Amino acid sequence: MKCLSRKQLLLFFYNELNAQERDSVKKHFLTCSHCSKNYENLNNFLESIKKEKVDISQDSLNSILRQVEIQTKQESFLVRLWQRVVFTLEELMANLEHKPQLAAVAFVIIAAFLLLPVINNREQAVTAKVDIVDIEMELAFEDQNNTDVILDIFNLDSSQKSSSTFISS
Amino acid sequence: MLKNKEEDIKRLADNFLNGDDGAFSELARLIHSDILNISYRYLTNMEDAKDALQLSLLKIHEGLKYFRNTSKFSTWIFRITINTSLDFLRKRRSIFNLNSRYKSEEKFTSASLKEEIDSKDKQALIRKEISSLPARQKNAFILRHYEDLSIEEISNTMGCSQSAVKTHLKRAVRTLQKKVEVVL
Repeated sequence: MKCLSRKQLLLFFYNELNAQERDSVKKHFLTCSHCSKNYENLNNFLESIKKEKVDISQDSLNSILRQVEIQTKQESFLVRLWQRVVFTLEELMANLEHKPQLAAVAFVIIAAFLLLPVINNREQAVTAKVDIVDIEMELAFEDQNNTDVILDIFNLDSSQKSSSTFISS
Repeated sequence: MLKNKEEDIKRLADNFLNGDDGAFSELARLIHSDILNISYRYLTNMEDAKDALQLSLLKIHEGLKYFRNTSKFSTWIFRITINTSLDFLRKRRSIFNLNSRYKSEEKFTSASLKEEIDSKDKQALIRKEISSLPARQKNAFILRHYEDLSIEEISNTMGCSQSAVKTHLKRAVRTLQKKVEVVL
């Protein structure tokens, strides 16, 4: 049998292997001094980490509970609303963190919401530019027509039109 | 252990949601020790752990109204405690980074490490190394080693796959073992 991986040794220590896997690891230890030694080191290290407990006095606990009570009563509607929003976002982030597909969909939706106004504005800007050119052209044509009418009134010939157009402008 | 208190937590939470204000105080007394110990593993400082406990209790008080029973109460409380502790840790690190920019002599040097070993405070060293692990490795290690949660329960709490939890746990132990053995 192949030597055991660190992960297998660790799962054996934390009792996370099924009965068959445990038996197989135990049998391997009997024949492989290298893995036995590795496991002994791991076991010694993890056993040396004490699971010491910390605690606080009753007075400290009472003081903390009083503070919690005061803060929950003093909170205004806006603070509660803000906490609710933060709480929901935290839950959402925790749920999305390890689900790349959902995160990708959320990203696309948010990006679409952010980009839509920009695209819309750009279209409006182009339309506005075209409108301005149209209006300028119409005005220019109107000017030309008015000049022609004036020239007709004064019976000027076409050779004189160019200079009079200059004058009218 | 918090996971063994699921029934009591559920009963007290139901009482609180049905208008019994005293039930929250009772619930807080039931779970405060677990929250405090988890926070302490992350923050390695009793004052910060107490602040994290207060903030976690506030979040639980607020969140209970919106709890939708999609997970166990204990899993939800673990999540709130871990997030609160990590927030504290992030804030503290940013303050530490700011200070260390101006006070380079206060950086954690090998000399100060030696003093720590000389004082034979191996547990303090381990606590310090645990708190400096990457967040996911730290979560996996603390929940497995100190809270005795199974790989499956950790994966529910952390919201990731069981194989990811195993990998985080393996990396955490390897890093801790290397650092502590090199120093000792």
